[in-house]
Amino acid sequence: MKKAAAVLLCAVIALVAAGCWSSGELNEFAFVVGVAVDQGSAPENILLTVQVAKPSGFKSSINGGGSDEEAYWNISNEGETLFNTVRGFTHESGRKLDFQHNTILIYSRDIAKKGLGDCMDLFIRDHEFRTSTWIAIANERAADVFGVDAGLETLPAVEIDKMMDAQQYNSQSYTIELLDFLKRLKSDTTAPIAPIISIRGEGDDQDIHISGTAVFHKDRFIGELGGMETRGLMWVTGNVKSGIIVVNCPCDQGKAELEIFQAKSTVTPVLKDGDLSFLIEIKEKGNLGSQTCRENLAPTKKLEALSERQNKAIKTEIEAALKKAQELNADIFGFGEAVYRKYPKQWKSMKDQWSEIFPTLDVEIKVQSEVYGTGNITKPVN
Amino acid sequence: MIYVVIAAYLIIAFVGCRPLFKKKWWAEFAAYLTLLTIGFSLLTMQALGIRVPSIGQGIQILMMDVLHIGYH
Amino acid sequence: MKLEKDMISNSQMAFLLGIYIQGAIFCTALVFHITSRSISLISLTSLAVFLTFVFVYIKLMRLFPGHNLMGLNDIVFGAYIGKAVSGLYIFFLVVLTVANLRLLCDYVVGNYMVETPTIAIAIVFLFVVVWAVYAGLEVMARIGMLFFVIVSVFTGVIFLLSLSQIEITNFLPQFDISLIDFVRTNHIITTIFFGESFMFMMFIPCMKQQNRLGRSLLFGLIAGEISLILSSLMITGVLGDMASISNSPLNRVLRQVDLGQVLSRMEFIVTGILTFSVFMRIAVMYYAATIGLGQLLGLKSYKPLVIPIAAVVLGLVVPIFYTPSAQIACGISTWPFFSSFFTFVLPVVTLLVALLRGFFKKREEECG
Repeated sequence: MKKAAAVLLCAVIALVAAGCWSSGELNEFAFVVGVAVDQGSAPENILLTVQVAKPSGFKSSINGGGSDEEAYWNISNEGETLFNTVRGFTHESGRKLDFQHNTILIYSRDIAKKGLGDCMDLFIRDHEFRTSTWIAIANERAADVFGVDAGLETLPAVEIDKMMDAQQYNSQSYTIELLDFLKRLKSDTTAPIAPIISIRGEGDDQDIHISGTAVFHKDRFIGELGGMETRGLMWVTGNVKSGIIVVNCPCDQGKAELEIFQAKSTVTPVLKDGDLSFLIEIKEKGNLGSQTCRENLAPTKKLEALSERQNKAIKTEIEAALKKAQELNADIFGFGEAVYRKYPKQWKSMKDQWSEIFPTLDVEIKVQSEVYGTGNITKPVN
Repeated sequence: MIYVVIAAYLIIAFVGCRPLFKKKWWAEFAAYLTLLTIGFSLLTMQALGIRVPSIGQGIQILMMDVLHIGYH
Repeated sequence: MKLEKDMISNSQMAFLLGIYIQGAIFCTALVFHITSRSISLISLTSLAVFLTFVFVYIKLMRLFPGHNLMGLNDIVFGAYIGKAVSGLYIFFLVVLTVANLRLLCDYVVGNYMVETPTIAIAIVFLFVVVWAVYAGLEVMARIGMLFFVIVSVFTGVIFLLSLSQIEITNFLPQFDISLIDFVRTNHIITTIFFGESFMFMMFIPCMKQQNRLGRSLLFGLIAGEISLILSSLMITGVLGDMASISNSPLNRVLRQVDLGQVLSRMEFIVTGILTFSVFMRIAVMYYAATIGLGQLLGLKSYKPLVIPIAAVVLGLVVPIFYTPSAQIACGISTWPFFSSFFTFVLPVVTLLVALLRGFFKKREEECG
């Protein structure tokens, strides 16, 4: 037993001891929390901006004091290729940049229009980068996003990271991790998508705003979906977690707001006599969250009328997304992959003509929704 | 680098063979020293920057080009 | 004659085989280069194919009880050819040790310690392996049991944590794979994951209850297979087609997995734990090579050979493949054939020769 213990101990020590070679002290690194890629001054150049966390800027929570300086530092560097530009930061920063804790990757719209492929490889290949970072497209300059005051967080990039997580409560922007973006990029037919991030307001009153979805063909930006269309897309992909649907009250003037609780989707390709069509079935469960009309919506009949309206609302959203996708000829739903999964043999002949099949595809949408609860009250107050 | 390799060789060769001197020690001793010399000459070659023939590439060539078996 | 005097129990043997197969976890990159959707199912068919060879191994062991692989070579092929065959086996075992060590070093260097030279990691790792081999089979079997439990628990935990990211759609359609790719994937898994455990024929005579040999081997194989299936389910489910372009899909999955917002970026710990299994794998190969050589040279003990073989392994670990991608290229194109020669062809030939020279009959006469 002694010998076994000695070997075990040895194994642990040896595994750890080899780390001394590539060791680095915490204060030798600058930890990057966000990366933004913009068009450089020359057409072939890229402008890379990184947000680095500055430990001295964090306010101490014990005495409430600390310095008034910002807790982050945004530095930019321009270059023709990505990795060279990344290393070029050592011309400006005394610490080597460390990307292990990067949370988000933002590309400007210009870069996205030219194609992301040129400035993406490094983020997948290098061992410091993670594929679990968020990816987003900035409406204006991507670098500006990191300059906006961070609201509740100390670092704008961390604020964006939290916001990305929070998008599930509105289901109006399709947040996506780099890995999922890459999976779509690697697919033969599925179009990659990414949320759009923009800045609202002027001067000191600026806010970061995430809404809508950028659509790509291969790696090139070709169009965008609005909030409603995005949710239409998310109904189909099954990514709707929560959100609010606003419908008219059945009898009275006014609106009822329904909170989405559960949503499930099934996408079934149907191949009949060589004709391909799709059946999308959505099952949704929601609660009455709020109402502005005076009538009592709690009786079962009224709730059923509400769910009728809800069905229509969901269907409209999906139709809007489908219309936009077919206009752009971008298979954002992954219909091609669904055909491949169900009809692998027939798919081989369809694959190359998918760009001709997709825009004219027949899609049947069946929505089955239910308004279940009425919250904490059974009748409206007034 | 090369001095480190040679020093390691000498230390291991002399210290390591001491327990071998029992009855009929020559077989153990010969095997010990021969293998150690082979190993350390490989290491020496690398320390001197001489390209050591690659066994992996040897297998590739043997299977693919000589025997013509292997997946493409 | 055999050099190792330690006896181990049947369950220890089973666990040792289990952790040996778990140790192939870093080899998963090879098969995912060919196809990613149906690896888990193919690993089952591979196991089925391998079981037929296990039958051959068991037959050989039963035919010459008390003799290990090197010993029965001498009996079956005669003194001279037998020694040559044993020499071939030892050459293969050394190359196998080197290749496995290199794969591990590349994994560590490629993903974590980028500036560290490969040889530095190899030296540190080999140091532990040498210690274990010095301690002998019994100690290895005992820590093998412990490591098996640790590695299995961690594989299970990581699998559970990755469940939320596994997409069923990544598995469909199953078996949309050309026949040649199916055969190829099967071949790779059968040789590299399972087949290279043929070296357990060196240790089988040290097992206490020989009559329960088959049961122990089967248990070990299934235990190893389960963790292989779990890890391949994880890789396919999380990465989908991205697995095919990744140098180490396992690492990519581990980086993707985190426990809520709290425990993220913990892949280094998990990798460290999984390395235990690779450690056992390399130690078993190394030990087999050492006692094999000791027996071939007619030494009194294998211990004088432990350090010199370490020197040879270290000397070869860097030049065996000039680049990490050369190893992967070799692993998916020619290595399965190279390896099959030693793991499948030679044992089957040995059995056939034994059959022709009438050892079956002799055995029957002896046993009445």
